[in-house]
Amino acid sequence: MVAPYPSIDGAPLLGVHRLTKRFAGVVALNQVDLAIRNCERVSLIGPNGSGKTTLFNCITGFCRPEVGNIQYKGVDITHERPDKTALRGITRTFQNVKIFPSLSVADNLAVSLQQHQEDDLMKRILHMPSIRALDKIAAEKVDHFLGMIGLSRLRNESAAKLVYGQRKLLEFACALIPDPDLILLDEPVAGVNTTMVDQMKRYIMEINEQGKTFLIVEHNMGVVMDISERIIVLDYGVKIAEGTPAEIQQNQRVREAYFGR
Amino acid sequence: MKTSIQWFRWVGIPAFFLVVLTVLPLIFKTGFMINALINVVRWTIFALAFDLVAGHIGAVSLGQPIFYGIGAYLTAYLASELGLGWLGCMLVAAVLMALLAILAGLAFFRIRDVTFAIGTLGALIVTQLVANSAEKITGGALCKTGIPRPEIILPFLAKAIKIIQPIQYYFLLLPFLGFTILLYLALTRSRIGKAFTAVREDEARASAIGIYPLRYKLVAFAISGALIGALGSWQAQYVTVFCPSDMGQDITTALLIMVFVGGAARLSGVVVGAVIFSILPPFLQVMGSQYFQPAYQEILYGIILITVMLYMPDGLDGLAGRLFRRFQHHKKEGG
Amino acid sequence: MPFQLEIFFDNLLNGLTLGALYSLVTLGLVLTFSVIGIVNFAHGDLFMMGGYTFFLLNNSPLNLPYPVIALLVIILTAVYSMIIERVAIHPIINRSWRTYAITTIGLSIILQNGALAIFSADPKQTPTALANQIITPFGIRISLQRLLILLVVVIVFIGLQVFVKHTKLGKTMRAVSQNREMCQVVGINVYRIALITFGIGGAITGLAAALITPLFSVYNTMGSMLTIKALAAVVMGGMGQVNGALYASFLMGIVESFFGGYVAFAYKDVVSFGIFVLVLFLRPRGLFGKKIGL
Repeated sequence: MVAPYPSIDGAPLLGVHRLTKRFAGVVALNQVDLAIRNCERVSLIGPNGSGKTTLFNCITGFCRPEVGNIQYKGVDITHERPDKTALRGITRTFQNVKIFPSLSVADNLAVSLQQHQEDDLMKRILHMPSIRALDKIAAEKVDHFLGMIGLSRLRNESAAKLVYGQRKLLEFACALIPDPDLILLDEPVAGVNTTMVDQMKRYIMEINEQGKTFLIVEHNMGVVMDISERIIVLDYGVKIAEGTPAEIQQNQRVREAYFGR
Repeated sequence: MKTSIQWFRWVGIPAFFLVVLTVLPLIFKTGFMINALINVVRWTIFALAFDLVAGHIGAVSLGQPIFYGIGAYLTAYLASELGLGWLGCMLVAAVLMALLAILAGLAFFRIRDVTFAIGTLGALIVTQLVANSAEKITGGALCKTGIPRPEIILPFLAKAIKIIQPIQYYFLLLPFLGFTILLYLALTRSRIGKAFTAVREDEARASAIGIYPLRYKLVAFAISGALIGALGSWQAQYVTVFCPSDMGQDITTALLIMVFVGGAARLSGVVVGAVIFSILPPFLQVMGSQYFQPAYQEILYGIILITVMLYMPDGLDGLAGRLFRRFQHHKKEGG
Repeated sequence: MPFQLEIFFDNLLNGLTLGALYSLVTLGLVLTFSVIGIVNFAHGDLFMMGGYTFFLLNNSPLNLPYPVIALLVIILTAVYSMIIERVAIHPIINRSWRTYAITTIGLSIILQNGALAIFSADPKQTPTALANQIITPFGIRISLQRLLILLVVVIVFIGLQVFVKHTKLGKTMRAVSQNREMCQVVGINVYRIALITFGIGGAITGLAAALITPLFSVYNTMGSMLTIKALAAVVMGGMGQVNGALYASFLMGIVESFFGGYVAFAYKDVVSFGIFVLVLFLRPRGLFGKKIGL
C-alpha cells in the first residue's frame, strides 16, 4: 500500500505514483507523480510526444506501466482491465474521435450508458416492470444528452453521417451519460470552430459545478488557461511543472520545453 | 415499449415468412419442392448462426463447419449407441458445441484479425483430417453410415411415428428455424446487439465504455456453435450418413457468400442471401444448360462476392434499401 | 549405405524439397503481407495457375527447352499476379482485413472453378528431363530437379536480402512495409509499390511452379492446401517476418516428411496443422522473433 500523494484536503480522487512506461526502448512516462482532487479541473499539457495520451491510456487500463501505481478512490487500479476501470466511474474521450459509425446517434449514447445500469437477463426476458423502468430512465437520459448537444433531430441517423464537430460533441456526451466521477478529455477542442470552443468551455464549467472532476489534455492554451484550476506539464515523459495557470505561464522550464532551448 | 409498428417488425414479418414456409409444402407436394424448402431452411439457419459471429461480432471464423461436423458425428453415436431421440440429440449437440465454442473461443479470441481467420481455417482442416483418419469413430473417408432415423413418440396417442419422409423432417426443422430467428432478433435488436456492434467496430472504445469484449465474443460464438451443432445433428438424422467432406471449406465459402452478398449483420440481408444462394444453384442446374454447371456457377458467385465486397459493402439487401429510399425521396420531391 | 540411413536421407531430402516448395510459395505471401498488409487467400491458386501454364507450355507442340518454359512461367505468373492486384486488390487496399480476406476468398473460388472448367478435375502430369535425372552423391539418390530447387531457394532468399537492403526499390518497399502513411506523406507512390510487390510475389511463385511442377502433378484444388500451409508458415514465422516464414516453411516440410515417412503417411498433414494450431495457442506472435517491416 503506497502512501497517498500529499494533498491539502484529504486523499485525492485519482493518485498516480511514480508511473513509468516504456515502449520498445523509449521511455514514454518517467516516474510521474500526480494527484487529482475531487471536483478539480486539471489540465495536462506538454509538447507532442510528452506522454500525455500514454498517461491517459495507463489510467484507463489500455497499457500496463512497468513501475508505479494508480489509485482511484483509494483502490489500486494499475493493472485493471479497461472495462472494469470504466465501470468505476472513469470515462474518457480519444484523440482521434471514436464513435461507433454503425450505430445511430441515440444508440451511441445508449450503449455508453447501458453497462452502468443494473441489468438482469431473466428479468429482461420476463419483461418485468423494473426493467421497463430501467429502459425508461435510459431513454430519458439519452434524450437529455441529445438535447444538450443539439443532436436531437439526428437521433436516428447513423453516427457515420456526423461531421467532425458533431462527432466530438457526441463522444463528449457519451463520456458524460454514465454519470462518471472522473472524466478524461483528450484534446476536446482540437480542430473545432471558436463557437464550439466556447460551447465546450461552458459545458465543462457547468458539469464541473455539478460535482464532476476533469482531467484534460489540451494544446489550445487559451482554453487551458481559462478553465484550469491547476496545470500539470509533461515533457519527454517527465513532470516538469505543476501549478496554477499564472504560475505555469511564468515558469521558465515550461517555456523551454515548448520553445526549445 | 413496443408500438404496433415495432410489433410488426419484430413478430409480423418473420411470422408471415414462417406461415408461408409452413403452407408451401402442403400445396406443392413435389419432392423437388420439399427438397428445395429443406435446403433453404437449413441454409438460413446456418447463415444466421454464422452471421452472429462473422457479421455482428466481426470475427470471421472460417471454421464454423467444425460444430456442424462434430454435432453430426456426436448424434450418430448418441442415436445409435444411446438411443437418444431426435430432440435429445439436437439439445445435447447444442450444449456440447456451445461448450466447445467457449473453450475454443478462449483460445482463439486471443488472436486478432486475419490470424484469427487463418487459425480457424487451420482448425477446420485439422478436424476434417482427423475425421478422415479416425476410422473407428467416424468411419473415416468411407463415412459414418447407419445413423438411425428419429421416432416421435406421441404419448397421448400411444403411437410412435417414424420419421422417414422428407416432409416430416421438414416439419421438424421448421420450428428450429423459428427459434433461430427469434433468438437472432432477441440478441441483435437488444442491448446485447448494440454491444456486439461496439465490439466489432472498435474494441478499444468498447472497453472504454465498460464492455468486456471477450464476454460478448464468447456469447456470440457459443450460441452460433450451439445452433450449428444442432443443425448438424438434424442433418445426420436426415441423411443417415455423414462424411468428413460434409464439413468442408465449401460450407464456409457458401456461408460467406450468403451473408456478405446478402447483407451482413441484418436479418433481412442474411435471409435474402441464404434464400437466393440456396435456391439458385439447384434451380440453375435443373435448367440444364451447359453453362449452369456447378463450376461455372461458382465462378459467377465468386465474381458477385468480389463485386459486392468492392462496391456494395452493405450487400444486396443494403443496396435494395438504399434504392428504395432514394425512390421514395424522389417521389416526395416530384409529387 | 545401410538401409535405415538411406530411408533417413530420403525423408530428409524429401523434407527439404517440400520445405523449399513451401518457402518459395510462402515468400510471395509474406512479401505482400509485409509490404501492403494484405493476406491473399488466393495465393496458392496463383501457384496453380503457374502450374497449369507450365503444363500447357510443356505439352505444346513448340517443344521449348525447360529454361525457356520456366522463364515464361515466371513472367506470366507475375503478370497474372499484377492483374489480380489491379482488379481485386487495388480497390480495397485501404479497407479492413475482413474485406480483403473475403475478397481474396472469392478470388480463390473463381480461380479454382475456372481451372476446373478449363482443365477438368484430373491431375495433369508434366514430366521434364531434369526430373528424371538421378545422381547419386555418397550413395544417396537425388533427382537433379530437387537439387536445383534447393539451390534456387537459397539464391532467391539471399537475393531478396540483397535487394531489400541495397537497391532503391527494395529500400522503398521496406519503407512502405514499416510505415505506409509516412511514405505517402513523403511522396512515395504506395499504389505503384503494391503493384510491384504483387509482381515480384507472382514471379517468385511462378519460379516455384516452374521448379516443382515437373515433380508433382497439377490439379485445380492444389491451391487450397498450399494457401493454408503458406498461411500457417507466415503466422508461425511471425506475421510479416520473411526469415521467420522461411524457417517455419522448412520446419513444416521436414516435420511432414519425417512424420509421413516414419509414422503414418495419412496423418502427415494433420501434424503440420496440429503444430500450427498449437503454436497459435502458445505463441500467437510466432516462433521467430519480432521485427517491424521487411
